[in-house]
Amino acid sequence: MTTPGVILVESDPGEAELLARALESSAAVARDADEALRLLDGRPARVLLVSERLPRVDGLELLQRIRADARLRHIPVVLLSSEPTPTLLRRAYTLGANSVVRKPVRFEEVRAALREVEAYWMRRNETR
Amino acid sequence: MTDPALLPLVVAALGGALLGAAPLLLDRHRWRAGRRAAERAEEAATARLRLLTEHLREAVITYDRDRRPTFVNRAFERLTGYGLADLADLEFLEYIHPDDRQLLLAEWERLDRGETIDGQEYRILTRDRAIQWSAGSWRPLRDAAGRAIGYLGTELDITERKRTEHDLRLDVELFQAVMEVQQAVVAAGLDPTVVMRVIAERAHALTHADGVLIEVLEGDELVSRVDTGVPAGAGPRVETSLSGVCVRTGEVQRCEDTASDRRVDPEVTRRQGIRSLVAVPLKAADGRVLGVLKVVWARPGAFSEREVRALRLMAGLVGAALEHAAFFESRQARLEERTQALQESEQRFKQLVDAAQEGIWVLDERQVTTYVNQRMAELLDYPKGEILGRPVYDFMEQSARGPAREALAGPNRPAGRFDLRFRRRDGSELWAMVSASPLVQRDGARVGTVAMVTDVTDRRATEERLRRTAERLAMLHDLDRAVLDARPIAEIGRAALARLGRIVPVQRAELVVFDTAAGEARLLAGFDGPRSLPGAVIPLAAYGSPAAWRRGVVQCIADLAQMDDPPERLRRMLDAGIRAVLSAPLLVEGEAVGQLDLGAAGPDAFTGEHRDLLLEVVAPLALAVQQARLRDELARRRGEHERRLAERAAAVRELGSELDAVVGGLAHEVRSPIRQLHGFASLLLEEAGPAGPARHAAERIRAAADRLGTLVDDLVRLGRLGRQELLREPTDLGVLVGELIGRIEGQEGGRRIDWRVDRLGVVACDRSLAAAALGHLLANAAKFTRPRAEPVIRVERVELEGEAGVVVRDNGVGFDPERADRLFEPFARLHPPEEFPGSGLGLAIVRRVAEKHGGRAWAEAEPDRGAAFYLTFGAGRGG
Repeated sequence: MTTPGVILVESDPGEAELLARALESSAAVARDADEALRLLDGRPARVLLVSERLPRVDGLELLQRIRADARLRHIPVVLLSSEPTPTLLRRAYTLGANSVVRKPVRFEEVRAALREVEAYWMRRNETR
Repeated sequence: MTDPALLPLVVAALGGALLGAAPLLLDRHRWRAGRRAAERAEEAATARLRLLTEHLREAVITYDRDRRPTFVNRAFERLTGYGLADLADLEFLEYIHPDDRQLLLAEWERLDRGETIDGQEYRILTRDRAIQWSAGSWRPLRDAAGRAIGYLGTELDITERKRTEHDLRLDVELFQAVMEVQQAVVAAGLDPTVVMRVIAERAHALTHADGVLIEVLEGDELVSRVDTGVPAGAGPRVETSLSGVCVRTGEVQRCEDTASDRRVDPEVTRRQGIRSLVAVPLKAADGRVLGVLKVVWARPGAFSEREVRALRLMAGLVGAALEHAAFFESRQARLEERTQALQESEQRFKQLVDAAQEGIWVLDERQVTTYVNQRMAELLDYPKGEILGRPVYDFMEQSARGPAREALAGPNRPAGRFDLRFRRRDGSELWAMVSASPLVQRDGARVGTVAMVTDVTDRRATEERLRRTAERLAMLHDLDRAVLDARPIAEIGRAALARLGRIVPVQRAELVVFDTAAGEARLLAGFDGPRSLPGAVIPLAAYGSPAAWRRGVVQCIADLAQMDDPPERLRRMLDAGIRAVLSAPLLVEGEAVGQLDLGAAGPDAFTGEHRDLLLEVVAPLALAVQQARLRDELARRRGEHERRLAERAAAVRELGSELDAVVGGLAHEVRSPIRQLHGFASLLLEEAGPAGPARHAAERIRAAADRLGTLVDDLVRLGRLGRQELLREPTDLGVLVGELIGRIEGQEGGRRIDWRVDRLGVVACDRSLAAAALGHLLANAAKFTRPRAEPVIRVERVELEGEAGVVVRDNGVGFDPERADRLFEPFARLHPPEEFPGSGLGLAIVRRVAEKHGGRAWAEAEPDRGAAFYLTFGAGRGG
């Protein structure tokens, strides 16, 4: 049994690689919602980083499914978005997102943002 | 989606005509935006208003809420002599006579309560200081939203009517005075002193004299017997030279002005305060002059022919009284011959009344004639003998007998006056004013009636004419009012025909409007006797040639039966039993838009007066037809306009959703590859060696991705701005600018900039939009001062025309002022991007933010001297 860590849900392989490399710890990457749910079935996660835009089932719908599942609903979910519009924010928090974070364009800013999230959920935040 | 500039057009269309157009005139200040459209609409409204009111007989004036005049029509200028420009120099309603104006203003608050003032009669003081009488009607004006925005007044010129009324009243006064005097003569026991006193007083009042004297000839000397109100300072002998002429010639002597009349002594009359006078001889039945009735005034030219006529009548009575008095005195001397004297007295009395100008009719207790004087016989055109012994009722129509019985045989009461209708021998009518007094014996029993009879046929004719004139004026007034109120044309037509039928002997009337395009005439309203005609469509050919209509003449056909080959519609009239026809076209600007046909059952039924009346009626009817057409046209245009507007709105909505898709794609799909470009180039740089071509290439990629990122950020912001809701809230610009400066200093990498920020205060604006716009302005200022050794950036508050805002001034490179406007266009670069990098969208965003707030953004600069960028946030509510 591996240590619970970060699961990153991102469909674009380039984007997924870049975001994973920006993180300090190694993250498990899921390409879509189904894969994310499969991954969660096998192992515990400290935090789920979910891209807003995913093929077929999008980030918000995945969030909804996780919150609907008694075994998974306690897992913190952080939604990543290139453009967190007021509509997105309202829907995300209504569905139970723990946080919504802007995905910047410049790499230094990307790294700074993801590391801050990582530091908070992996170290600062208390879990069971 | 509503553009405020369109609203005036819609208001004009809904109002249809006058009442829509007039408020529009007053409403113009409300539209600051789209001012040109409002002005165009206003010009159109003024033109329409002018056209509609041009042919109205009634004067029309409008005032706005601040009681400033805003419109008058031509009739108003004709009536008062004042144009709109002249009125601007006058007080509110100052064209009305000051006394009447106070009365009208006292009623004014009724208008503010939404009521109307109708037909109030007052005097108008024209520009030439002449008096005109008007029946004025006032009502509040409201705009499309029902707010009171001013007042609409119409003035109906009733000067002619007032003048006739005045003349009539004078005539009646004169009759009454003479009657009273006659009754005094008949009933007062013929004491000449009493008679003279009564006559002097009546003459005084009736002629508005300053003094009246009656002088009686005793021997060769004129002795003053009675005087009233003779000017102070005049002795008993008031100006005697004209009296002398009067006695010698037996003619009335008039002096218009004593100052220029050689017959009088100017010195004497000046001392006595007399400027004009009339001397009337007092004559006996045989023409002997017995004395003089003399009336004096303190002002020149104080009398007219009317006064002279009244004085002649009275002088006749005084003469008779004096003659009787001579006999009265001799009777005193011969008491023993009393009976005979009485008989003679009666004989004399009969002579006296025979000489009177009025008819005298004495009746016994059964109203059988016991005496009539010569004048009475003349009035009835019967010999005296045929009247005597017959009841007075024989000389009347059946219908007139009831009122006569009431007047002549009523209970014993003081003399009353009645208008009674007698029948002359030739069957014609005699209208007479009858004043009846009971004849009472010593014991109080009534033995008969004395009636004084005055011919008032002329007066009755005047009254009848007056009534017809009033009826005609009322009809035209109602018509004008209906046109003003923009009532449906068919309704106006029906009302006009109904009124017309009461004044003109019409059996059948038809009002049609022409539709020349369809070659048809539509029957709008019509009647045949008591039956109204149903609506019908008639071929236009039935109305003859268009050339005939355009001549615009009234066609009067005395007898249809005598006409060779009449047009179809006239044949139909003939079939319906019509003989005489009066027709007039409804003309608008030389074009016939309809026709009014009147038919009468008898030939030669129509007179010149009817023809004039018809012309007066068709003018407002033509206006009403034109107005209805204008209304239809406006409604059609409005429909078209709304359809185009809806199409445009749909197109805009479609464009909007496409734009949303594009912006969404930019925000997510375009950013992802840029992020990867920037990210992997960064990772490459971290792993590459300290120098070399590979590192250089990676740096180039990273810089390009950086620029792309900025460009996408700005494009997304610009794309969202249009659709974003404005959240105005009180925002402390000082705090906001402080935060922005902090961020910019971070980006400028420690470059020293001298920031001088004023007290900016709190402004009502959308905080996030203001931050975006100010961020761009401050970043631009920082960017363009980079070449400066000592960069200074000032941020100051501005207040312009009630709008609060900010100006950012720098001492940077500035720009060419001739191209200041292009600065705010997207991607309009005035400097090379490699020197001053940026997305090229910053100022476009600033301008959109300003416009979104209803404010403005503009720039002032000189090359190499720095620039100033202004941003205002409109006149926001709150904050």
